[in-house]
Amino acid sequence: MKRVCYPFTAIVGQEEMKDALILNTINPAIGGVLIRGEKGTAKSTAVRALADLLPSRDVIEGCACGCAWGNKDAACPECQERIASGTAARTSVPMSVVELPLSSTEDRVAGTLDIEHAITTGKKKFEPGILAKANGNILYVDEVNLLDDHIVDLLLDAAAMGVNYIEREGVSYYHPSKFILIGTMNPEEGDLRPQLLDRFGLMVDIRGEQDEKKRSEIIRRRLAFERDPDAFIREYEGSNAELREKIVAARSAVKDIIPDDRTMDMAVKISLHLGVDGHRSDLTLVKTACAYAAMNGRDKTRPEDVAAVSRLVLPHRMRKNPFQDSSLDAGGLDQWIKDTLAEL
Amino acid sequence: MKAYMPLASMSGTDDIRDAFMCLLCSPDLRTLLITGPPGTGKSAAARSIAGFAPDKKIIEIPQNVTREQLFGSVDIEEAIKTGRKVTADSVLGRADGNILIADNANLLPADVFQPLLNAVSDGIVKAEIGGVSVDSACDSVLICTMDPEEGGLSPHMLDRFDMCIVTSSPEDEGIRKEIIRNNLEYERDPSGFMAAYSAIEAEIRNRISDASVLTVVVDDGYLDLISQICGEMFVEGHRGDIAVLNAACALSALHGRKRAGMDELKEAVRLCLSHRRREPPQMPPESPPEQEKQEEQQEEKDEPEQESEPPDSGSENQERQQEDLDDSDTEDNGEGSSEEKVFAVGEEFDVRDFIPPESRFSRSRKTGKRDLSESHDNTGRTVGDRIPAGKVTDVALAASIRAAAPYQMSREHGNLAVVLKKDDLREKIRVKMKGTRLLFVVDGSGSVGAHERMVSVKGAILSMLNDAYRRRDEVGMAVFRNQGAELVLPMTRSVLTAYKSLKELPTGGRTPLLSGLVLGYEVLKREADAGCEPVMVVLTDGRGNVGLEGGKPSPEEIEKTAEVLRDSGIRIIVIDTEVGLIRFGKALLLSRMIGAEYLLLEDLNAETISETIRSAMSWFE
Repeated sequence: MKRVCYPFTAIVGQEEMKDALILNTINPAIGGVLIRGEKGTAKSTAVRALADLLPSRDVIEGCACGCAWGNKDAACPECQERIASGTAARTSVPMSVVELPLSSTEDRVAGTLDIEHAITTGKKKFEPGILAKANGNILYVDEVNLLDDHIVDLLLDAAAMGVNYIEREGVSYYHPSKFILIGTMNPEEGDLRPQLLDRFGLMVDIRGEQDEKKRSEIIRRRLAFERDPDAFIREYEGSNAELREKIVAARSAVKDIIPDDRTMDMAVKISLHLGVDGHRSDLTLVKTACAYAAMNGRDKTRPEDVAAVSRLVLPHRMRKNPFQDSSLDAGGLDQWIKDTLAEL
Repeated sequence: MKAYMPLASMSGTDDIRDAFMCLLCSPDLRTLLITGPPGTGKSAAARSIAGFAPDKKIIEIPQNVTREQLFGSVDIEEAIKTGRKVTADSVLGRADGNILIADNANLLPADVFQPLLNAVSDGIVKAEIGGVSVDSACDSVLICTMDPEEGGLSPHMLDRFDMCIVTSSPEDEGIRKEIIRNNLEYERDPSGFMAAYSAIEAEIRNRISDASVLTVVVDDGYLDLISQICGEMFVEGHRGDIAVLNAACALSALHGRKRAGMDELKEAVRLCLSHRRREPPQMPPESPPEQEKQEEQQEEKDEPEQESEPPDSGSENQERQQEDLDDSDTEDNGEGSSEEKVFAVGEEFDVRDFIPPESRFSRSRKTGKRDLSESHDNTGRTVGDRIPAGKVTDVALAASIRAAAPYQMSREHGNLAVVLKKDDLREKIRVKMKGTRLLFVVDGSGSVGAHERMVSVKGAILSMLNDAYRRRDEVGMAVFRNQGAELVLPMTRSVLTAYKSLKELPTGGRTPLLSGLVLGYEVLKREADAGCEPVMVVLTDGRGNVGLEGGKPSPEEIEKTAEVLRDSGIRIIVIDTEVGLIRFGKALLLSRMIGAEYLLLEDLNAETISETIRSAMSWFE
């Protein structure tokens, strides 16, 4: 039985979140999304719906960590052997959402020795964990701020390198672990370490829809979906397909977009203006701007693209120490952006 | 070979390049620390050493590496087949002749990090582990990266690094654009991008192989100069001197010199002493190195409501006189006005470890893991295994298989390759964050408000909050003033919320000290019952003048409260906030009565001389 999934395009409102998710699917190198906000705001519905919407991926058949087809250098040791011996076969799998539950153990996340295999055959074999399953997919961490520190450290390493290295229980192994990291958190329940915060490419703050009409529309659609999911999904098939095509086109277009000098000027100026540390903000601004341009059907970037995505890229990078609220002065920034755009 | 971003494409990495060359050409330089804020290219720079030594393998040390994996334990495949105990392929075994890289080294468990540094510095791996002895060469270099915001390393651990480089992000727009451009280009076509730098890398490799480090001549005067420099920088121990000498020789050899040169010495000092330099004793702290200073200024600028600077000595004297007057005037012990005021938060500083260590695990305190302790309820992170004392409830399966493997040849098997017997069973050793619950109980009475003392008190709390954040403690705050005590911040992990409460903390009125202590007790008792380690930090001058029922405190209720606190199992630290020429020393009395540790507010500052010496000694115990 195929699990029915609420259609992405049927989600009412939450435009920032939807934009952030779509931009990441256009260029996964943007580095994921952190969604901050209350419960019941369609976060996980949106993430699942997005995965459902995306086209299948080409992978190497039989690979436990879903090695992508056609990238030998990034493949796991087993797939490298398969490629070398000519036994690698291509297969297509749908994009999936891999959840990392808060109770996960280190062994389950990183992978470890396959005990069953060891006992029955006397041989060592690596048993893949969540980081292997997440490769090429979406890794969804609900309440990421409540995750144990040592699990967070594992996530950080994998996210940074795109590779998961295992040195445990006599198993020494590595495999690609490139995923779109999507985390949710309720800021009142505790902070996220700045190190992890900075690793999320984008951040959105969301709250329940305030508009009464939209609220009732949300309920109406939900009821319709629950009453007759198939009919409801059919209703949105057209708009979903349209969005899918747009994403697929943008994905291939973004590869050829080389940001112009003014775009980079804008990215650097805005980071410097806000005193954001490190190069990650510069890079993410430019990458996200490219994805934004592609999504809008352009093959060139403009400084305005940087301005448009800055509200997603910068809010969580603003604070210098844990005691500063990470918020942007939206009004002041808008004026500054206007002035700077005029200068460029 | 794995793709990496060539070092030559990263701006401002000349020091890193030279450090890499030193590591690769000198047999006496083996460890390098790259430290800096996130997103300044530390990890990428570390991996680029591949281009300087393509014949060496890069071995990554993941965060969750176990001690056994580091040293190697019984190889199950071999043991099952032959019955012999042979060491399995281990991280350090593979490191011989190769390069080790550990990211976020400050977050590695101490029982992994310390032996790792030892093995690389000594060039030998020696260990007894899981019934096998390991004794092999480990001719390797180790590159570690870390973000000091996540918790620094102790001076002792820092000293084990031959060289240290601090990364930062450039302010120059042109350079920043260049960085973006390079990164995008590299991501688009890694091999094409790398090829553009292959000539530079080849030249560096030639310089490394041509460098004849061991034949560089060193004059006696040169050695004297090194000792003098180290002395002037208050470098402790001799590792610094030796590292400078080795680096100067290596750099001289790389420059084709037969004799150790002066320019090379300057650079060697920069590479080897930045992390070893200390503040001079017996003098007020000198200005920190240029970069830190800039950061500090930046922080100060960003600090909200930083209106009041610490008073200079002149106004302090004046204040002290006022204080004397106040104290003689009013029987109320300098209770200023009862008017409510909210003081600004004073200057932040690095706090010493104000909670004295109790357990062995506290030794790793600097890594943000002060309260890692063994857990016995099958939860927490596995760090090893052992032969169980009684019934096994938490079986370490892989370890049990390792234990059983050598005996398989003589056992009945059936369909299985491994048959476990009771004696083979091993149990897991797990550690868990004990979770310190830190409750600040703050005297908000008028006497603390007098002379802006509250500004310093708030500064001290901010500093302790910052420390608590690094250690991931939960914090809460209670204030006592006027007629009673109030919990202004229930226990939370959100230091931001704590900071907001601190900023708004009011001052003024009389001193219901007993109510504050009782409230603190009630809050922390709940935490203790939940299995956490409760710590109460009481900031007061100890001059309580309101009892639990409102009026004057009676001797009986004072004694009763003190007794309850003494027997509570809650660790209490009294921080004396008293100022003035004539001191009543009531806080000291209080601390004795309730069985608390006692500190002066000024003693909290990690930079005060006495503490520097004390902490240094504790590391050499």
